[in-house]
Amino acid sequence: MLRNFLKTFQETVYNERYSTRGALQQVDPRVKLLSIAALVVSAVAVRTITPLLILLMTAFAFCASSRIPLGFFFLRTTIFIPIFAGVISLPLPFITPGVALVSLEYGNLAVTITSEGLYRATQFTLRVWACVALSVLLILTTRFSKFIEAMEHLRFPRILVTMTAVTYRFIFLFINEAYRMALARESRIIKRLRWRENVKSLANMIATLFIRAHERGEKVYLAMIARGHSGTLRSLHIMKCTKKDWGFATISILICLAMLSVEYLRLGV
Amino acid sequence: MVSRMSEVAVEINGVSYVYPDGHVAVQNVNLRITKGERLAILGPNGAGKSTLLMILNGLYKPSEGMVRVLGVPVNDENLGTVRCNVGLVFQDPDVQLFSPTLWDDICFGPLNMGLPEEEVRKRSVDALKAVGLEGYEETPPHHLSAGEKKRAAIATVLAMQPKILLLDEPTANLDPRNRFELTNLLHNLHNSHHITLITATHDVNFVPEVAERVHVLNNGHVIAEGLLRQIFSDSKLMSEANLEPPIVTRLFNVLAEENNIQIGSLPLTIEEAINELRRCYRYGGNEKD
Repeated sequence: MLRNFLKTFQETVYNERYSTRGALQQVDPRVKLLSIAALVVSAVAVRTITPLLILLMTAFAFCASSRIPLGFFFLRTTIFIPIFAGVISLPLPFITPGVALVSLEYGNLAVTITSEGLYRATQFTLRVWACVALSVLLILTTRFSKFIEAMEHLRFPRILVTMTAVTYRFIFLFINEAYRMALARESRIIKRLRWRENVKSLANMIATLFIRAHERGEKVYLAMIARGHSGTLRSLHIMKCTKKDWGFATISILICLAMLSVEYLRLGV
Repeated sequence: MVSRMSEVAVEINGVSYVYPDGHVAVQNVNLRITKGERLAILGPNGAGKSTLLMILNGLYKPSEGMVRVLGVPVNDENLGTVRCNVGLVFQDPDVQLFSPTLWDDICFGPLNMGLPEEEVRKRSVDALKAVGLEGYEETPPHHLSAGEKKRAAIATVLAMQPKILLLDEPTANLDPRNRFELTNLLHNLHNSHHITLITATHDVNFVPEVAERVHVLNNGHVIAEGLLRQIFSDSKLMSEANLEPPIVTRLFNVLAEENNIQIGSLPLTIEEAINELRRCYRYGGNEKD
């Protein structure tokens, strides 16, 4: 199970299959990052369901234009919904005061589902879904190296850019390392381990990984110093915006403004 | 007049290094390498080879002794100059390739040298070409094979155009094909750029391919130095250093000892072995050239 989890995680993080061909893939990464950030902010700012649905549809429309299979995108975005949003939104229909839709009674216990609660649960789930879909879209259509370049050009703090780049580069190695450790552990297991034994060996594995990560970190730092690193990272990337990029930015801003208008002019439900 | 070839590239005088935990990694090491020379630091695991390379690049400060690179003392004031001249290729390429793309990694060194952008580009393109990795600029390092990673790691250093190249266990984890390519690459670099090559390794079969002279390191001490044939024919020394001569040399040792075949000159490589066998065949193995 641990091996499967690590394999899936690796494929999820390092999937650059769709990052080169398609409409969104051609957009300047800075423009894409800012535009999608604006769409995510508007998804967070609106409270009604209509604009959230439109934003979600926008993500799917961008996805289709970027040659990403819709089924794959649907699965990729919904996989996080039950884990993150579900836990929070599940109790909402029962605890939010409002007009009762259904009442269930069992002895002295009475559980009521309210329409306000159901609305809040739907709204929260949709908001999370829209934000996740837009973020996944950004990741799928952008090579990570371009994403880092965009962060550099947008003057993100240097330390943040470096840490993101190095984390991305080395998390791959550590997943591989963890995978090999899991294999080695499994190869020596004769009978099914008890839960406690499993937890203990997993804890040992995590501790070993931490030590290895620390040691590798030291070596990487030495390798950087050996090539003249003195604390400042410089890069050579040149980025230019084209009409296509401005077009994408305009469309995104218009969608954001339209959604905010729907929200604040109370045009939606 | 001192010829250009005889100018000293590296000079190590009485260098010792003690790790913070008290472990003595190298002790009283003396070494002198001339420009354009190819030297191997041969020793078993834990002999102190990597530590010595780190000292040469200025990563570790020796506890005792003095190091000079191209006449410049390795100290805090000269670290920049030293690191521009001495390129260190680490044993594990994954340590050396830390950027999201290969291009970023190649440009890292030249950018730190403060070179103009055009020059950085030119050097980076040249370095990629030298190791045969043109077209891999945008490739993330984790998508490279072991052999490609090793060549990429060398390119990251070549882009700085060092005069001295230090290689730490360069054949580690390489298959025969990649090992062959690496040998060719190092030959080309030495011939075309006249780079001084210092290879730290325990791979005795690789040494004759990349070095003319050897320093044998064991438990932090240099226990012998000399030309390859002189070192590899000393079986007592090899045993003391927990090493063995190259496999070809061992074969000819056995032939000479057990079959009474007269060996003209102890071969170290396949090519030398072929020549020796031809000579033996010609003279029935009883006469020397």
